Amino acid sequence: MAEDLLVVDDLKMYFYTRDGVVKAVDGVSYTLNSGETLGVVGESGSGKSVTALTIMRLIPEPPGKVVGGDVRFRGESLIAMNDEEIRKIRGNRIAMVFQDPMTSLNPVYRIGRQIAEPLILHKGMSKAEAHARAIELLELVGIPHPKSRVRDYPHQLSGGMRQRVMIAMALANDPDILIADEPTTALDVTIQAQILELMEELQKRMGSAIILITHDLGVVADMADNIMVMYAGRPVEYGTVDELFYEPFHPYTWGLIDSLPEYAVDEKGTLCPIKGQPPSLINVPSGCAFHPRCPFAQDICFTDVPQFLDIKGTHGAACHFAGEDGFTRGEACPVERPATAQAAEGVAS
Amino acid sequence: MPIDDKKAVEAVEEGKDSPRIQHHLETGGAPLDQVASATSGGSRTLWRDAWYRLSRNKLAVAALVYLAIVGILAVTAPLWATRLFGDPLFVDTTTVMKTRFLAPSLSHPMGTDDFGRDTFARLVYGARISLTVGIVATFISVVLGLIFGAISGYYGGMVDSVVMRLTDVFLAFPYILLAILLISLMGMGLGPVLAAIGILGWTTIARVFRSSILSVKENDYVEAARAMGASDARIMIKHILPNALAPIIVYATMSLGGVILTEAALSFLGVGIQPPTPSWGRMLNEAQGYIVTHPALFIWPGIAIISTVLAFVLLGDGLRDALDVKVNE
Repeated sequence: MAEDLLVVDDLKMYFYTRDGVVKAVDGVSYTLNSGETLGVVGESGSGKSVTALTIMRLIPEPPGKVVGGDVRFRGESLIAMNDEEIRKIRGNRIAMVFQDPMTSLNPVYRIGRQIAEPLILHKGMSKAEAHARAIELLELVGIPHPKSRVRDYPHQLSGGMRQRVMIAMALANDPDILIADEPTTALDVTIQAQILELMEELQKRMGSAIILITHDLGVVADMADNIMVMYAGRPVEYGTVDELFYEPFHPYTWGLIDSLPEYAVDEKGTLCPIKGQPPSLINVPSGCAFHPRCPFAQDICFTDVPQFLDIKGTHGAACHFAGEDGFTRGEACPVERPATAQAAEGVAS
Repeated sequence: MPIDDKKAVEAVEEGKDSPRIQHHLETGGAPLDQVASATSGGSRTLWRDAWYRLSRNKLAVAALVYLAIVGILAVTAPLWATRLFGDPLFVDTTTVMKTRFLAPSLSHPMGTDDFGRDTFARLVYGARISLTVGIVATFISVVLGLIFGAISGYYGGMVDSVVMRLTDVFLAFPYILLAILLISLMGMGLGPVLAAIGILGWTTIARVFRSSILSVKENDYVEAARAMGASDARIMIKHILPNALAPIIVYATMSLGGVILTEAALSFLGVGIQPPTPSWGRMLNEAQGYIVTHPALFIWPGIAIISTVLAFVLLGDGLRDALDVKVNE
C-alpha cells in the first residue's frame, strides 16, 4: 500500500451569499496515492471544481468558507496553513491546469518567461537557468522548435499549444499532484486526445498523481485508476474504473453511462440523457438530492439522506438501494420515471 | 528634426512584414500548420504591435510629429530664441515706444507685444511652461491615481468604498474654484500650479484604473498565477498592472491637453503663472486690452493652445485604438 499522499476528509465548503448558503461541497472524502489518477466526474455545478480549488485554497474567503472536514497533504492540513505556507505548496507540490488555455496565459509575457515563473518562485533559479529549463519543458510537452517558440507570446499559439504550455508550467517543479480542471473541454476533439495522451505519458515519466476533473466519463475511462462521481456537492459513487463501468451501483452513474453516445442509443438510435436539471445548491432537495430525477425513487428517497457506504471493498455509493439484489443497471433508457407517470395520471383524473 | 520623425515612421511602414519573415527563418521554415497556428505572425511584442498600429494612423502620427516639434523647440529655446529674437522677459524702457506692436517681419516672425518683446520667443518660452505643467501635473495625477485605484480595485470592500467616496467628494467641487483655492493657499507661481492641478486630477485616473483592475482581476491568468504560488504583491505588479495600464496611458495622454488648458485658464484668470514669465494663458490675459486693436497678440497663443490640446487628444485617440487588442483580433 502506497503512502497516503492526499487525504480529503469529509470536506465541506459553503458559500455565504445574499440569496442563502450555497453548499457547493458537502462532505467529500477520498484518498489519493502517489502516482495515481483520480477522475472526478459530474455535471456542471456538482462541486467538482470547487473541491479542487478548495484543496489549492483558491476560494476567496468570504464568500467561501470551509465549514467542516480537512485536506491533508502528506499528513499536513492544507486548510490550517497560513498564506505563506500554502503559497509554497501551490505550483510547487500541487499544481493546477485550468480549463481554458486561451485565457489562462498572461498576454503580455513571452511563454518562456511564464514557464520560468514557478521555477524562479519556488526553486530560486536565476533567470538564465529558468529560461534553459523552460526550453527543456517545452520540448517535454511536445512543442516543436522550443528554442524559438520559447520567445513567442501566447497570442501566437493555438489552443492546443497553449494547453501544452500550461502543462509545462504546471509540471515545472515536478509536483506530487497535478490537478487538471477540465483540461480538454475548450479544445477540439482531436487535440483533446493528444493532450490526454501527453498527460498520461508525462505522468509515467514524472510519477505525479493526477486529479482529473471532467464531465466526460469517456475521458476518465481511458486515464483514471479510480473515479469519483459527484452530484449536488456530494460524492454519490466511488470505485475503480472497472468497478464503476461494469458494476455501477448508483442510478446517477447509470444515467451518466447511458448518456455516453457509445451506450446511449435505444433501438431507434436516439440518445437518452438524464432528464431534468441539476438542483440548486442553495435549495438542495430533501432526502437524496437525486430523487427528483431518479426513475427508481421510493418514499425513503424523499425523506432520508443516503449515507455513503462501501459496498464491495473500496467500491461504494450513496444510494439506499445500492448493492441490493436486482438493483442494477438494466436496459439503457429506462421507462418513464414513476413520479412523472403519476403526475400525468393525476392530471387525467 | 521633423524630417527624422517622418523617416522613422517610413521605416516602420516599410519594415512591417520583416518580423514575420524573420520569425519564419528562426523557426527553420517550420511546417505550415505551425506557422498558421501563430495567429498574428512573427514574434512581435504587444507594445511593438501597438506602435505599428499607431504608425498607420495618419492623424495620430501628425499629432505626434507636431508635439515633437513643439517639444524640441521648447527644450532648445534657451539656445537660440533670445539670440535670434530678443529676450522674451526683458523690457527695454528706453526703446519700448518704438518696438511695441511691430508687425511680423524677419526679425520678429510674429511681431512684438505691448512691451516690445518678440511674440514668437514668448510663445516658445510659454511652451516650456505649458508642457512642463502638462507633463508634471499629469505625472502627479497618474501616480496618485494609480496608487489609490490599485488599492481600491485590488482590495475592494470597505477600502474600495472609502476611496471611491473620497473621489466623489473631490469631483463634487467646482474644479477651477478648488484649484484657485489651493493655489492661493500655497502662494502663486509654477510650483503651486503644478501641485494644485496634479492633486485635483487623480480622481478620474483612480476610477479608470480601478475599473480596469476589476476587469483584469477576473482573468484566468490571474487565478493561474495564484495557483502557481505567486504572492498578492507579485500578482498585482507583474500580472494585473501591465494588463490594466492601457486605458491609463490613453487617459493620461488626453488629459495632458486638459491640464494645459487648465493652466491657461488659471493664468488667464491671473492666479497661475506670474509675469513676466510667459505662459500661453498669461499671454491671453495680457492681450485682453488689445483684442480690437492688435488681435494678433490674442490669436497666436490661442492657436498654440488649441493645436497643442488637439494634438494630445488626437494622439490619445490613436493610442486607444492602437492599444485595444480587440480591434487587433
